[in-house]
Amino acid sequence: MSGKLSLGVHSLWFSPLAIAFGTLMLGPVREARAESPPKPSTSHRPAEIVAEVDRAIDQKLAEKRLPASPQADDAEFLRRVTIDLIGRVPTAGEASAFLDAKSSDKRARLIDDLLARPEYGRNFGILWHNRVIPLSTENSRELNPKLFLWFVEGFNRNRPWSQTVSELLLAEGDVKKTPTLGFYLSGANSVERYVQADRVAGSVSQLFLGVNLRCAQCHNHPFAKWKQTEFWGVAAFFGRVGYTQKNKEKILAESPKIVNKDSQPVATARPDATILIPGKNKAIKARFLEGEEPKLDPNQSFRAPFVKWLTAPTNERFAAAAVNRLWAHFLGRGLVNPVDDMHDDNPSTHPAVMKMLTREFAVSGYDQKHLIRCICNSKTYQRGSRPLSANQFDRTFYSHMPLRLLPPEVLWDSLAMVMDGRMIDTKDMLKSVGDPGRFFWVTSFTSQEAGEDRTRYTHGVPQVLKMLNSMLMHANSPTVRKILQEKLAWEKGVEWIYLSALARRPTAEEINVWKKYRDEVKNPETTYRDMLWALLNSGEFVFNH
Amino acid sequence: MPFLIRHPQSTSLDPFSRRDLLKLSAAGFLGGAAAPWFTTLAAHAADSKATVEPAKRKTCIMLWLAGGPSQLDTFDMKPGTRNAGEFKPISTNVAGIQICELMPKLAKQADKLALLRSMSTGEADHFRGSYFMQTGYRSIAGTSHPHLGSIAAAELGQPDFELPNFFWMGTPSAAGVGFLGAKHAPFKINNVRDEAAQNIEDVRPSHGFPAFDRKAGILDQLEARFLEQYHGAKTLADHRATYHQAARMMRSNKLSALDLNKEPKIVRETYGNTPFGKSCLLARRLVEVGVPFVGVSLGDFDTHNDNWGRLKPLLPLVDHCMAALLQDLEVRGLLDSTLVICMGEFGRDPKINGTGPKAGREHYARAWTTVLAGGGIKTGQVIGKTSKGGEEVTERPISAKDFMATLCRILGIDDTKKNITPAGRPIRIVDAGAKPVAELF
Repeated sequence: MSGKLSLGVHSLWFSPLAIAFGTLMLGPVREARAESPPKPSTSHRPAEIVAEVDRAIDQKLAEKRLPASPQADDAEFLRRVTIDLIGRVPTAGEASAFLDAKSSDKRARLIDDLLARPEYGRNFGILWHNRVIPLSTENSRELNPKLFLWFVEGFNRNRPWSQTVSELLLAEGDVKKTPTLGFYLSGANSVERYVQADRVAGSVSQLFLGVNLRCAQCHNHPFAKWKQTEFWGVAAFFGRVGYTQKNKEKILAESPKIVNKDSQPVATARPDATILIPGKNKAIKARFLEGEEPKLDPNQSFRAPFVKWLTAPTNERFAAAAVNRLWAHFLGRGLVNPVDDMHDDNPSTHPAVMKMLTREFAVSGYDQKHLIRCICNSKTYQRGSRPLSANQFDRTFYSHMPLRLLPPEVLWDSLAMVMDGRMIDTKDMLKSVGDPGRFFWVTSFTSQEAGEDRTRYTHGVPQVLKMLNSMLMHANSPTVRKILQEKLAWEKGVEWIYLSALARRPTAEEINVWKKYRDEVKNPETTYRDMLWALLNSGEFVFNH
Repeated sequence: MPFLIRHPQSTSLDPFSRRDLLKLSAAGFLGGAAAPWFTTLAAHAADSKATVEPAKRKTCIMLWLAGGPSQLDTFDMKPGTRNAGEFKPISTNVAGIQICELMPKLAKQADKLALLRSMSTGEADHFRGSYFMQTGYRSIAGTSHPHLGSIAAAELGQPDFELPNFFWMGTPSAAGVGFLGAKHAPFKINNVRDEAAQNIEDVRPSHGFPAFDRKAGILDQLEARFLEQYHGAKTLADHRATYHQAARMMRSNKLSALDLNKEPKIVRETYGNTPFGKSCLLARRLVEVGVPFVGVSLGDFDTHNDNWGRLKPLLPLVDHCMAALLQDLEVRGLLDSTLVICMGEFGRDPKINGTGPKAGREHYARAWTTVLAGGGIKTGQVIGKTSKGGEEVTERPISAKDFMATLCRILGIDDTKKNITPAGRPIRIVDAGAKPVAELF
């Protein structure tokens, strides 16, 4: 994968010494190239894709006679895209800078800036780590530090998605040292001492193919076309992955030797690439989903051909699943909903958009940042969230952006920033997610049931009590301290609180309402503290809009 | 006010919240000075009396013996067989009924118990079994069925009740919040302590009530405005409703139910100072003020190994606390209106696995026992029969959904009622084809 040697005019390049030296020189150059994947000439500029997406969405709206809400103003857009890309609300400084910036392309620039921040990788690292590692019955999630950091690095370096998935699924080696083994080690895929091929099949299908095959594990799927044979056909590819010892270290490997004794409780693949459906005595041959039964060499990896098929440009499901998830992340709802239920009886609401973005993603080399630009620069994404009477019942056609509850991690990271002055430590990513207070808060606010659907309000009384009365919400906030220390005038003080909490300036009416409050309370400091408390407890803060 | 047809997928106006909005608007809250509306609402709630006394509506206490308690060593003994095990049966105060010798106190109150010995449920995995027994449905991907407690909260809970309608103490149950949502989610207390403020974290305002009311008032003003901009969107309305609920709870005098220190010392001593004993006492106090459902979990009954060794301290604990609870409920005239359930996710294999001190029993869902008491049911009886060695049900098998339908009937919940999941699917409270156990009524 060496880049072209730029032919320096120097004749030195052609001496053996120089070649050796040149090889050394190639090192850093090659790395720099790896940071932005090659752009095949067939991928488009985001603006072109954006125009097409918007056209298709608008056309559907017209068909359904749904008026679109006005576009989000700068404050709403800034807050929304900051939360969606870097996982926290904007600081007061970021807000005033953006609101006052004059350039006509400031929104596009903001998107680019946010994509370049290390917090971007952290945000998506958290997201994907949480998709791979399940919640315990106690609603908590144990961090796998190596896996998390690996994801973070991958997103920040914009590693092609196909490569990320390949590395994850083909992982092997020392369990303690190999970050990508986090996938197999996850409780979702291994149980005690065994990798469970059926669980892996369920995970792979859900996460990377956008299909929920799990129902078909025991019987044909009740609502979709998936058959039990199809489920086990996928499981067979992963039926020779397991744990062994090497030099006293626990390693994960794929090998015919992993295949098993009858005493093992898991289904394993035989050398002929068949797997026995437990309790049914039926042997199913490894088969690509909706595809062929490949000829598999019993002395070679079974999962490698599967991964090759999975990430091949001909497998549209792979790109479509990724596109759908990313779309749902930004728009609150997948083009196919639920996001892991993509099949013929559950078609996309906007097939043209789906097709366009799927093709673009594949053709760009599965470049996530590029796909994000294609989504976030669109009018559709930048539509306001306040509904019109005529479109208030629409939840399908993007006439307005739905309200989305802040995820627990985003809630904490934002509150810690505003109430405690704690910025996300990008030099120590593990520390930035390791705070015990953060762990308990996130555990408390996590809703198993809603999963990733942020359009449902999932907080109960215990969570609200924390927002109302916890120590965090009554901390001596640096936001307030700054106003007092710098002796800011009243209106400037109110503005600072609003910018810090809501990333916008207060209206004249709001300033007036708070002035009356201040006159009742007779104490400016208390007023500021109460103001901050109230704004952070308001729907305007707790929802992404 | 126009009747709004609610499409499950829409953000249609929740009629309740719009009414709320209009009320506040009429009272001038939407433009006037920050009025202490929280005080007003709370005072109103305290003044309004429930139209039915809490004791007359049914409530439920579920004693969850986590791990799958062995029926052959508790309530369905098989003396003289190969499967009998170490413990011996003793007679009870009901002729013909015998239970384990380690439960002498319950033996003296067997007339209060109904032993359902013919449970046959088929799910012998901890998570799947727990889920099945606590929701009445098998766990499937894509749906989160509500716990019986959430159903009880939704069906039996009073709308303006200041406490949560569903409490769960001890290790969490397998069924989570379920699709009925946060409003009916279990309020969890991991370790029962003596004071209300310790049992409910952050229930006290940091700087006292006048200060809280003042800032809560202006918060509500801001919220009303924001909600207006969104045409009363459901998620926003839910958010606001939860805040109202939380505020009501903070000021509720019913909070004292969570204050074990308020219970006379002699009663506390009767239940005992163990976590399980305290939880049982708290459960009584909660149903007494009208909480429809309280779950108390005790573990660990998953006795694959050392079955008898591990049951030796556990069974006397269950015996002591459950006997105290039943007696206490009776003395207070609450027994008829309180259904007490004692069960786990399945039973254990009659055939003993292994020999010597490490012998144990594996999971078994083919034939096992649950125990019911109170709730106005016919007690002092055994329902169903198992074979001589306990391996099979020989009479009157009870499935998980039969069991759930029975519980609903006892509690006065219509098990045919359909709830709508977030995806728009109607799901009956209990699966169709269920037959409640008629012998209990």
